[in-house]
Amino acid sequence: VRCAADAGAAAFSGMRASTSRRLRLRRRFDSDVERATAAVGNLREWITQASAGEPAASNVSGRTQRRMWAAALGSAGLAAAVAVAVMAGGIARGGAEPPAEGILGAAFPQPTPPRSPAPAASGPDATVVPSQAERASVTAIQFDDVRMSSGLGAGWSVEPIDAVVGIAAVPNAVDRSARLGAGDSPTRACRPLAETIAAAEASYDILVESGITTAEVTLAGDPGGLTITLSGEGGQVSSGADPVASLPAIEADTWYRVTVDIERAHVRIVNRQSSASARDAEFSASLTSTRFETICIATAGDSGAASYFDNITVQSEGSHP
Amino acid sequence: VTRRSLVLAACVTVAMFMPARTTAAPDFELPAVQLRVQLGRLLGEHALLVIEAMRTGISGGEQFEVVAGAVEDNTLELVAAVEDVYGPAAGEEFGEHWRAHIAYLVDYTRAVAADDPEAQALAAEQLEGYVEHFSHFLSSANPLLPEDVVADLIDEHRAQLSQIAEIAEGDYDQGYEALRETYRHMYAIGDGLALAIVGQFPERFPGREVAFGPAVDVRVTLDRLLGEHVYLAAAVMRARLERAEDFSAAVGTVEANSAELSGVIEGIYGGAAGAAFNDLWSSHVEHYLAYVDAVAADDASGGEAALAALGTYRADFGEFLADANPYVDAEALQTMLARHTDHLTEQVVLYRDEAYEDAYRIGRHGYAQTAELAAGLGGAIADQFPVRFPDTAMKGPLGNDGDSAMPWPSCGPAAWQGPHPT
Repeated sequence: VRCAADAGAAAFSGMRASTSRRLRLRRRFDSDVERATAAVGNLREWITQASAGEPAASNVSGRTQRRMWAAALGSAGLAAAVAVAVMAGGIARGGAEPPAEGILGAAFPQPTPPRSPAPAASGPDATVVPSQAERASVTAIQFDDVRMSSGLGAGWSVEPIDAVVGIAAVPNAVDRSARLGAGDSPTRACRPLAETIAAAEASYDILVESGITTAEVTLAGDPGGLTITLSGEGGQVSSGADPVASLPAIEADTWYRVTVDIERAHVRIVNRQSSASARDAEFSASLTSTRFETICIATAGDSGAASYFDNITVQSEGSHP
Repeated sequence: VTRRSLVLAACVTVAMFMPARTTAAPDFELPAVQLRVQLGRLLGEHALLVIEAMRTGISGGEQFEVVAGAVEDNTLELVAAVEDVYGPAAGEEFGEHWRAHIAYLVDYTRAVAADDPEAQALAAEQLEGYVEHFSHFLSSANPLLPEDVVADLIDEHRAQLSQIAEIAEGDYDQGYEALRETYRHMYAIGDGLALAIVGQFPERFPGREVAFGPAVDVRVTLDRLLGEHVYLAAAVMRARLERAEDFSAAVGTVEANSAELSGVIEGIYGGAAGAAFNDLWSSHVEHYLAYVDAVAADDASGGEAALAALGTYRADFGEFLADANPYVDAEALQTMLARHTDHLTEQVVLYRDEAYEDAYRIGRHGYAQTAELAAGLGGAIADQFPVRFPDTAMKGPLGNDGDSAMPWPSCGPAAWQGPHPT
């Protein structure tokens, strides 16, 4: 057949590899996350065994442990990242102040493994790692089964009432997310957790459009709560009204996975489209609240811009991997 | 005797006395040609994938999310195509509209499956709203967009709602027939969009006359039919494997596609050639089914026999076309056909093994691969019949050129398949 056959292939190879900002690489990244999560799980099991005094553990130095962490994470190519946002009352403050220059560097040293198990904010000693069998997500919110244009689904309350809030076909028609449009005042949506829990870890995916000044996730409890505030100029972790750690700036129109390990007082933020750029931060373990009953998502910025939240998971201490 | 028949007869008569063109085949790499081909194929595949997503959504199979992923991959390619023309912001906006309409279809399907009339009505209403917004988006981006393109878009989505309901009610014959109609409409929409874009940016997309000339018409017709064949054949094989209720309807649709393809050959090479083509083509579908039966029964020898029969078919088919057209190289054609049959046989094995993501990925590759078949065969046919299928619509035996105010009637596929997009 004539050489014209090549034209067919050329017609398609000519198409750029996708670049649509919200989606690309996300599915591939998800599989990376799964592999990395498995790697982390394996490593944690190993640490559990080491803590239990199994023979192999006694010969492994802390440095070796860190290398294993790095290998486990690096081999999966990712940053299984986790970062949770816990915030309380952050919206009312109108967003985080840009952190002072230099603080970010200290707060975000090059990706390092989580520090050695530290005393948890509450609950059992963090060195006691539950087994795989004890793991269970307490709350997992995905929005995938919620109809378009029907609010965020059951249980969510929105402020202000006329806020532009809904389900969006982002990143795609089946893998949907919650869209919070920014208005003149902060837009906030909250829903109660299934029960008041001593949260050990929370994670979520977030994308902010250009024009969003802050996007927050809060685990609200009494007397305060834990809030993760992200913005293009830098963010922070707050315990009640008090900042306890600075976070790096995030790029607009990019999916991030944020994981907050409350037990280990550690935040990880991963650019889902460039998994090599994991950023870690640690914060004070002296939180004002350690038991949470409500989760809130919120955003502020230019009218017309929006933030997207997805895959929100809150795990209790007993379920923490 | 219609005017179209007279034109076709004149074309055939002239072609009989014309030597084969010694010049190069039509330049399929011209940007305008590529744009037309790309948009047609991408939009056509969108229709096929959406209905597959709806089918799996209604039946509740775990394949649903996999197919939804394939729909998204197709969407990403469409978005990239829009970005190439109008930039990232427009691509982004297009993507939002496009994904929203797919989501509305998903909601509608779920509502049908749940027998929830209220939710159905809401989703249908949302689709209507989408059409309005999307039409506005398109016409804002390109003032040359023909109104019938917008009308076709509206029809397409109404048709999709009907298809979903028909499949949900088990009326597979109607559903599959409507699917073919929607698929064909998507190519017409693609032509309309391509024509408007080429008209808007003539310097970026040179080759308008060729892109919408008879030679490329042949190629695009083959693109449409061969691409459709892949998805329909895969549907038949899947239905056979699962002993699904839609099997006979899927077979009927494949036969309709084969008949249309044979009609194209008949229109070019005559009735006897068309019949021979149909026999050969239909036989290879039978071999697919024999292979599926062997795969389902884990019958290795039966599978090998079916694959051997497909090999024989490829040789016979290659020789048949090489005999009919001196521009066809039988060996090269067999190589292309081997890729084609491999895609279909491979995907059904993956499907049996519940490796759905790989199965649908291979299916998409199979669809894309038919572009090389269409380009090769279309080029060869245009080379063999340069008068019937000139590069440009305006160039004919009277010596008209592309700028002539007196158009030469098209002798391309449009002559027997409907109005020419120009």
